[in-house]
Amino acid sequence: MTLTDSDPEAAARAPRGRGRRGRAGALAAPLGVGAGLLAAGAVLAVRSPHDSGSYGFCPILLLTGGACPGCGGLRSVHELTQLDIAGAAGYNLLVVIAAPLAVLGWGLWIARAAGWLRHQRRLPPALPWVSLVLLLAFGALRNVPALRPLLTPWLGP
Amino acid sequence: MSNPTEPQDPYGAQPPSGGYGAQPPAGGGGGYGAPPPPPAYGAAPGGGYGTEKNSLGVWALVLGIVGVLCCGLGFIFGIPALIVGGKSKEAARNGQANNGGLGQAGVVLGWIAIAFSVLWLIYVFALGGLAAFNDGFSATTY
Repeated sequence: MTLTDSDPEAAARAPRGRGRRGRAGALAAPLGVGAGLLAAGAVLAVRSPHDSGSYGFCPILLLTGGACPGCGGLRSVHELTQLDIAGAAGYNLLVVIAAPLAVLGWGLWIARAAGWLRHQRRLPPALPWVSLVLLLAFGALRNVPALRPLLTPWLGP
Repeated sequence: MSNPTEPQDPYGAQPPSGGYGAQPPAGGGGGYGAPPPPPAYGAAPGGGYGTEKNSLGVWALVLGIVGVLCCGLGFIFGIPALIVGGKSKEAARNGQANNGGLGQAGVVLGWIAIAFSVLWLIYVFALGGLAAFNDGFSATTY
């Protein structure tokens, strides 16, 4: 706050249209989200999601018998915190793919909020739709009997 | 829907690379065929309908859809859908987006996702759903 307020040059260098909120305010959101995700990861590392029902049930798995795109996600994150990438991929491949991308995106978010980026690039407009299609495709493919041993081995035949 | 002056353009989600002659002669300056203008920092609020923040509406909608579809932990996606949807509607009011309807849809879906996940968690943990399912269904954690 005081840094940007007392330094008009810095404010002019980062004309992000947020004006009244300083750099510290802009950093609050990504830092808060990062702290929250870190805390969630710590909980999953300590309190194992492998015990049945320890975090509840997935309603889709329970009602349909098929795994939803997020099923196995908590166990996958738990395995990631144990640095077992292969095990994590077995529970939910999407989590293993998305985790490094999420870390990268979070870093870019921080850099952007802090004003470290000289050129602000926008995310590709198709990204949300591509993500949605990938999510749905993963949910469908992991329930195909032929692919189930590969994508959802923990569910059994 | 709460704001009748909001531009409700059902085609707002289309990428700006749409056909050259097919677009309706919508009011406002920018046609779809033109490349998206650079982020206009000094754009007057309320002036024409820009599209530089249209991505917010799409993100809100997708987050809302995922929140509703995915699991009993819908609030993980529902809360971001509310936030991004709110920003999308704000951008639409400020003339930086013309698809505030998508943002509104994201907000609605986000609330549905949150309500669904909260009800489900209450059922599982507070109303004995956990004990009921734990016997017959062994491999049902997330």
